[in-house]
Amino acid sequence: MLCDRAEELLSAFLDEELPSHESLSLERHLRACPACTVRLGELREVQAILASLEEVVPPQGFSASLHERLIAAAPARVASVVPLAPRRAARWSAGRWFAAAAAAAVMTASAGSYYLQTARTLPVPPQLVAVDDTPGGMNSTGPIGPVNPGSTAPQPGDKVQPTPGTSDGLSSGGKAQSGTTQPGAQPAAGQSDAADGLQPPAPTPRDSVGIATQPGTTGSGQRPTAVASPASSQEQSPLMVYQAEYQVQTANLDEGLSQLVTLSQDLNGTFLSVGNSRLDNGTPISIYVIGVPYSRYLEARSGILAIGPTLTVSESGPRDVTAEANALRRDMDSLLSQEKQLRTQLAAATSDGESSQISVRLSEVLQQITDKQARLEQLHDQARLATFRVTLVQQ
Amino acid sequence: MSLEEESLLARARQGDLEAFERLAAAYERKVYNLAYRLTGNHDDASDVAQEALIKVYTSLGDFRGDASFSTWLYRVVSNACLDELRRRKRQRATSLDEPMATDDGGLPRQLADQGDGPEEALDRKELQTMVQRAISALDDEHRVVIVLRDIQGYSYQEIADYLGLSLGTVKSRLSRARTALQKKFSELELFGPNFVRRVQGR
Repeated sequence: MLCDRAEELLSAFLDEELPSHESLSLERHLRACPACTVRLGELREVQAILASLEEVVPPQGFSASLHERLIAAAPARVASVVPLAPRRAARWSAGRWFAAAAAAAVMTASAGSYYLQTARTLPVPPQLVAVDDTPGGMNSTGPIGPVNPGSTAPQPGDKVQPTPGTSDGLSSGGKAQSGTTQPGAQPAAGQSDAADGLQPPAPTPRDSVGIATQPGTTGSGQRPTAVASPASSQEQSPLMVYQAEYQVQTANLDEGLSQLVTLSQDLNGTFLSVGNSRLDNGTPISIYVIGVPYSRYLEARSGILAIGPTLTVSESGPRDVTAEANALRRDMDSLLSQEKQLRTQLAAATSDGESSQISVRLSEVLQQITDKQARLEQLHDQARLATFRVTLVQQ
Repeated sequence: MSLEEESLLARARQGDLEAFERLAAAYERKVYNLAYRLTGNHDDASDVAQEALIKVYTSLGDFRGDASFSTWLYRVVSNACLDELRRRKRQRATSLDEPMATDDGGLPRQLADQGDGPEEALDRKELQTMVQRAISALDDEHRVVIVLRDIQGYSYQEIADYLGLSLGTVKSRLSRARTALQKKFSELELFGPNFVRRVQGR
């Protein structure tokens, strides 16, 4: 195969959308052609960058103004207004940092990045994360499965990971967060998923922020209702966030990796993603993202520093986000009682005009509840794990 | 499709607006995000997304049930968004005075939050804006495939269905779109080399 032809195929190869004969001959070409291998890495980076784009929410009043326009579009019939079902908080907006961190790891792994497909039911490496140096290994672009370092057997709460390329548009790096282990950093009530060790992907009812969310139905009159527990306006414990990025020199990448794995295991942490790459001058590097319970971030920090000469690329935190979370909870309490009031008013409304007015206000309130809840979930996700991105550079 | 969705659909097809709105609520966010990534700003996105949903409403009679409702909806929406983009482009071409749409008519939710330090928020905001600008600079036909695939996560087959293209066309447009973006990203030093240089500079 010639490079021109190979370049045409790389993009579909990345998505595993090539027929197998083309895929095989491209793999053969890649084994022999560093230039095309670099191209493949570059395209992968494009994907990772796009996957790191955040979801946007429709502006306030979107539904209301859509409603007006729909009425205008169908003037023959003036329908009575009923509140729109609230959109469930976007699951993938929560914990975006993990996604971003994982995506960043993918992003920076330049030429020929090989991602490890980890099986959660297996004990964590070293053997599992052994560096795959054969270009054929590039085919394994599956989701970077989160690894629960402590577990050597399936756990009760285990769920099968979603397959890559599904509807939420996240890269494999992004997937890592949906099943991230949550090593009991939050003793707070309602943290039942932490106890399970693994949080199943949506659409699972989440109660971690004191809000009962039902799977996103648009029930006929049975719309999901957000319910605040009485104790919900205070966080049970401080929410602390810590994130850092280090570059560590090591004499031997495998050894550095096994030190990282041991460290992460010792601290009851988790691997979020793994990638290998080379610098332009050929120096091999490996990039890892690990998460440890916030309470142990200092231990993780000193453990990483002990691996070899370390450069701190960035460090954010510890940052206390409790006040923000409490403010969100208070806002939500008040919004929820507004919602309740509006619903009572709606039930008692006597004219179409009146109920239409109430509905518009109600849908605005519901939108705000959804937004605040999503942000709260994001804070909780960030506070669960202190996250380290570690680039091992061979000396 | 659930029974309930089916009954909503049946009512919506008879012109029941309330039923339609309940049905559409489930898709609204996704439709809005598609419109936002295609237009690059919130004002146009609101407009385009609403146009697209109105189009769905007024075309409900065309839905034959030979595809799933969501497939049909995304097909109508994708095409309505593209039509709307083309219409706007023509308008813009005829009125040169009209100010260009801005890239950052608004911020994604997380950016507007207080949670990040100002620097961090700025970095993320900048990054997101730069990426969106690069996407906006693509041709419509390339932009729509890359948004559907790499941001919204649809399969090649789904994208082919939505846009009425062959699989081969989806493949090649996606390939060209990614190559174009790669070029733009590396001009902007958004990735790779920047980091590698930083490592090497030690």
